[in-house]
Amino acid sequence: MAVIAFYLIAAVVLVSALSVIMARNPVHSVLWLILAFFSSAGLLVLIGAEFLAMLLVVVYVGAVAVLFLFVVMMLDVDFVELKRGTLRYWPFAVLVGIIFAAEIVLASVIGTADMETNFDASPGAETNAEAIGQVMYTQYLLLFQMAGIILLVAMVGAIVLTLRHRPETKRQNIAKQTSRRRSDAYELKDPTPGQGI
Amino acid sequence: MLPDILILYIVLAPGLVALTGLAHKQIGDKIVMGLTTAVVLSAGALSLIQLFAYVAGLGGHTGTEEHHASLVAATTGMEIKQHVITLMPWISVGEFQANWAIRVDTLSIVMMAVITGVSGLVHLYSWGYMSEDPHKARFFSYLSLFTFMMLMLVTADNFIQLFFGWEGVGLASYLLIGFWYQNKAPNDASIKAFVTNRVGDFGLALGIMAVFFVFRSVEFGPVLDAVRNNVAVVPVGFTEAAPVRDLMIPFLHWNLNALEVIGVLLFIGAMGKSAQFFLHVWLPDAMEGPTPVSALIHAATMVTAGVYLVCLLSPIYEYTFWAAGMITIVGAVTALYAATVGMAQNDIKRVIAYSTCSQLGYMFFVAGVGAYEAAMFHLFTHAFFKALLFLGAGSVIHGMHHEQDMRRMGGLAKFMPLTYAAMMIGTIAIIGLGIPHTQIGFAGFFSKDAILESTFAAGQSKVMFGQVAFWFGLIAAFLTSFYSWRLIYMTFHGPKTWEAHDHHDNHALEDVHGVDEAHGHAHDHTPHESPLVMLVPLGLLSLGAIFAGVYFYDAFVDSNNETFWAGAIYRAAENHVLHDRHNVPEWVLYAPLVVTIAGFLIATFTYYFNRGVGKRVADSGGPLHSLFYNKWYFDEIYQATLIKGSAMLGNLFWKADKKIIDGIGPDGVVAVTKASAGRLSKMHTGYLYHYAFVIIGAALVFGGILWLRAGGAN
Amino acid sequence: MIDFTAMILTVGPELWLVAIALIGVLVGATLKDRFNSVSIKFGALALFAAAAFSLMNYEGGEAFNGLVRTNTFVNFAKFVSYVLAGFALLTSEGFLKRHGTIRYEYSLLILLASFGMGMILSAADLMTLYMGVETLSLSSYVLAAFHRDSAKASEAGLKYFVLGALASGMLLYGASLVYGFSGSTEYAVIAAADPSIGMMFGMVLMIVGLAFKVSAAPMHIWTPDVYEGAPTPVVAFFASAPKMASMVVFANVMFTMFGDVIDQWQLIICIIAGLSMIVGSLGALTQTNIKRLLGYSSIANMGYALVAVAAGPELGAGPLLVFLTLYVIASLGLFMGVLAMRRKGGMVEGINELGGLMRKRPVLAIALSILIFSMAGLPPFGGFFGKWEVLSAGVEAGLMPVVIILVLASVVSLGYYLRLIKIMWFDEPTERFEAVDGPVTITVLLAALIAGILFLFFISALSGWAGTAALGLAG
Repeated sequence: MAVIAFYLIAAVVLVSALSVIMARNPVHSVLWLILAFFSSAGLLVLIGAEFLAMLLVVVYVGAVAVLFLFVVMMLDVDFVELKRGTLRYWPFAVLVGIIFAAEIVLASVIGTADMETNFDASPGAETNAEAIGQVMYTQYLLLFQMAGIILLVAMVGAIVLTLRHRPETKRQNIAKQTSRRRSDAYELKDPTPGQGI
Repeated sequence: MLPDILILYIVLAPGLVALTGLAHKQIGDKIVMGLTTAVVLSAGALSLIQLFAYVAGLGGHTGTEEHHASLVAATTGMEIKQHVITLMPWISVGEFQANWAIRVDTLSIVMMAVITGVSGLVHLYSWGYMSEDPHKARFFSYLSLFTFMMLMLVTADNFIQLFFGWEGVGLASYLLIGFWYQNKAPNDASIKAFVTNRVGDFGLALGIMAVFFVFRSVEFGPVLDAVRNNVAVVPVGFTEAAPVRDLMIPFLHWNLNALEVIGVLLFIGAMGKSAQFFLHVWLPDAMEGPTPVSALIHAATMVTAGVYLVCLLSPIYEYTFWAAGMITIVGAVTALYAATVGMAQNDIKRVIAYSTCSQLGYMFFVAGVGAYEAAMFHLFTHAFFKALLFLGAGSVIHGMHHEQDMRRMGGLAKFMPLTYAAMMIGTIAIIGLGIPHTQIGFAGFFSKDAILESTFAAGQSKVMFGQVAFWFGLIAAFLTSFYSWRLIYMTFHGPKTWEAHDHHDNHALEDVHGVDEAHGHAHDHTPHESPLVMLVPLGLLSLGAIFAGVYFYDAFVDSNNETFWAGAIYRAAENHVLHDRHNVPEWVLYAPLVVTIAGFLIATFTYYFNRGVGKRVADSGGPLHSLFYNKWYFDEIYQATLIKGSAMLGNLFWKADKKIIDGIGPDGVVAVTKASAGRLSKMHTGYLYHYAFVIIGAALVFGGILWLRAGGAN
Repeated sequence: MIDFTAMILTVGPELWLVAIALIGVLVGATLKDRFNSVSIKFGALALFAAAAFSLMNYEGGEAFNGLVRTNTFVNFAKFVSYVLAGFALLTSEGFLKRHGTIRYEYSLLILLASFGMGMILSAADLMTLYMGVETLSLSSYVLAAFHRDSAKASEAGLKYFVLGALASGMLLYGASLVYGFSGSTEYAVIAAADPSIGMMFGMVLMIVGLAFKVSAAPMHIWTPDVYEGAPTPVVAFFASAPKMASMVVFANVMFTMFGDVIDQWQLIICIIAGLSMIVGSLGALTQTNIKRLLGYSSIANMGYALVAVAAGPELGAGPLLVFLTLYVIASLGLFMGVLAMRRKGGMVEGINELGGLMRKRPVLAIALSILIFSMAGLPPFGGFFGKWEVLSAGVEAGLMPVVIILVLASVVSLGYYLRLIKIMWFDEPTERFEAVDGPVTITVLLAALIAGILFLFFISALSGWAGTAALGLAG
């Protein structure tokens, strides 16, 4: 049963991944991508890593893919035009891909005699989430913190590359707003008729 | 011995002050001159103090023993006293180890005293001699640079530092010979000196390589110890060890004795530097340099480096037959040859140059027969009187407004009495006047007699070429006396031939130095005595020329010599030359005196009483005179054979190279390289997906390679 | 429990750097623009301190449950990398000020990149390696595009980013294959595992990823574009500290993780080395932009370094350190030379504009000439000895074909090195050069002094240090 499910879901992953790069419409591409993510999550569930599966869905589908979708929809890029030239590379690319895949498959087939046996999705714990929780802040503390540093780098980088202070942009300054007095805003004048101010 | 810090000062300070010359524009000529002179003079004073203290301490010597790295030579039981200050490691490649170090032993103490002493006086003298030269700072810093390099040479404790100093003095010599580079003659002379030395240096370099090949070390200590004790060594690439004295090594596809090969190669280096026969041609031409330079470099110090090398390597030459014989015969031939040429020259400096050449020959042949101490003794005394003669000649030239031709001098004794006195002392010293069996005599007497007696003794005990060398040396002594007096008479006595010349015309012709025009107009054209700053060095050197012999005789070559040299010079157990010289027949003692007086009398007869005789001989153009006058046609022979030949060969190769080798080789390669470089830059299209494709493709290919290799393995 | 002593002993300098970077973020957020100029000195100081730190704990240790492990081999590289990073940072101030792009984030990014360098050097686990690589790479991408208003810099940053992501992907893929077939991410366990063909395939992919990071051919293609486009101080940084770190990591990975299967990867490394040398030396011949030229030259030099890697741990580790140390110092010095050359209209980047430098700036010209000679490997300058050690390591390992390529490539590389010298010394001067920043000049001179002259006398000392450092690999 699990084997059938595996092949089914794996087939979906492959087909949807292929469709990501073959779809003409970029919006469709992203939708295919979401399907690929979902199916991968399914694969993870199959091996008992349900926590990872949920993470995949939450992070990649919930955040990354949706962001992609926004970008694709907001940028008015004519992808069809962009892709036109690449068509002549197709045969070559397919060939390279096939050889690449063949090498890996062959390597795997030869070297995998004892691979299946030593896998445990939740070593030393009841559930996958518990197993991850047990090591996340202890054994892999350093890696966890480093991931934080990488995110910090990404943040600093994004700010450095994109943040611009535009003096001409109108911004709300709350302190300035609340500290405004009536006298600052207007002034009573008593104009004489026919003369103006 | 002096404390380390003072030794360091003596050796390194001249090098440092030489650098001030670079900043002479900022700090002024005077400061450069003052600094260099002060430093070198003080170094000279220190090294003389060291030498005197060392000699004085010989009697009940206890010394500062902790300073002496003592080791005992197994064969003779002689204690080797030397102290090495290691400054820092220099080259360390496998077994090839060389340090910057200062080796202090008797040899280097003597050499340091000679070098810094003479150099200090020459610095001082140059204040007067070079007073009108526009490039004084350059001159002084070259002099200091030379002093430093020479000190590096004599204090080296390995062949590599020695080579460094060797090339360094070569460079300084080149720079100083060509000091007046605006003129053609000095330029040519400097190139000639450099190129000729290259021949010798090639031998030296080969010799050092051979030393490393045989001993796997270039440090004097291990190498010389191995020879002393006949240690079994395994040359590079050999599998079996053999005692070094019997070791045979392949050289030019002959199998030759290793020590002979090394000895001959290193001696070729010494021949170049010390201007020995065949490689002597540069020395007379080097006289184009300023006279203080001739005194320092081409008389007292640099040219004696070869003698120093032979003495330093005495362990090697003690166990060679052919190499030592070659030294003897080359030395003897040079002594005689140079003396014959010296008789016929008219340029005052050239006469002294040939005399130097001849005296160096003496040093070599006596070293060749095994009396290294006598060679060093003559080196030591010769430094005083030869520097004195050169500086005296410089004083004459200065007084004569840069006139160097002796035929245009004469009667100068009256005008420059102090210079005359100094030259007389120098001359008496060089001809070696003294009374046998007494302690009365000038410096040259003690050293030259020690040489001739040793050589005779060696000849009697069947040392190779000893007899030949003795007779050559005796004849040369006669000739030395003759040409030395000839110089005195032509310069200081007789009619004032310079009055007869229209000095102005002549002056313009001889105006090679670019500076004497001003000089000439500053005075009238009568000769004048030199300033005090030039006379003081003459006086000090005169003292040396008179007393250096008698004072140091005992230590250098007589009863005290073993304690004095303290193992710095090695003699094999069967070598008794220095001792045997006391047992030579009585006539050998008197023979030098007799020939010297004979030479004096003939010179007096031909150049004092009958002044015309010399000129008539010269004018008659007899074959012998022509031969001597033209230096045995050496320059012409070299020009016709070596120079023309190599030019032809060069032309041939140049043309062949241009057409055949360049065409196919470099030019072709360049074209191919350029084309492929162009093609390569086309690979950089700038498109991201091309780049990405290359990376993936590479991964693919590497995976394929791995796969194929794994497949092959299965 | 957490063993703080071991942590400090192992990754002390990295923890220190990251702490300083975090403090820098806070201070920067408070002081804003007032911090810009200070942060540079502050950061450089922190880097020098980190360098000293890595020397203090030279023997290294193990911490974080085997995620990091250091020894003398990597600590040597750490020390050199940190010092160079410090100099690269210190000298960038003038350039950034003149271009109006001085911001404290620059220092922070350099610090974080250096942290990444330190982590990959310390890594003893595939995960640490990957995380470190990402920290270093991400910072580098941003630094390359730091001049965001310059189209060239942005293009350089983007190209670097996309290709770097591809290479990181390869590395990660390779790592996961290695993990999959060996069952562990720890170097030590992997080294002991049975080298199945699948694991070897993972290794090949990791080689590709790492070769990209050190810009060895054919994974070098990003290098010339990025070197040309990115701001010069950033390129100076790229060409020095991370080069050293990445190459040593490359060697470390090959030696410690795959040391037993050297016959499997030796050929591949040799091919990469040979290609790098050919591409680097030929490519540089036709360049007219000096930064691009130096980029190609660095490709060739990485090829030389890879020869030492291919020679294996016993023969190659010491020479690798010697060569890299001399190369990165000279490389930094040369880029400082590029930084030093400024004309009215901006930076001098065309090599023909260097004409007459000898007459206008003799000291600079002499220093640069020494550096160029050293890099070209002409005796008696230091670089010669580095190349010579690599060469002899290659010969001893019996890699004759690649050694021959090394010699030929050196000859070809003389073509462009000497052209630079010729232009500097003999060509007619073009325009006036502007004044140079103090730190830049000092760095040029220091680099020339150290790489060119000092190591001429102390080369035996350097190879001694490197030799003892390399012993750390074994034990």
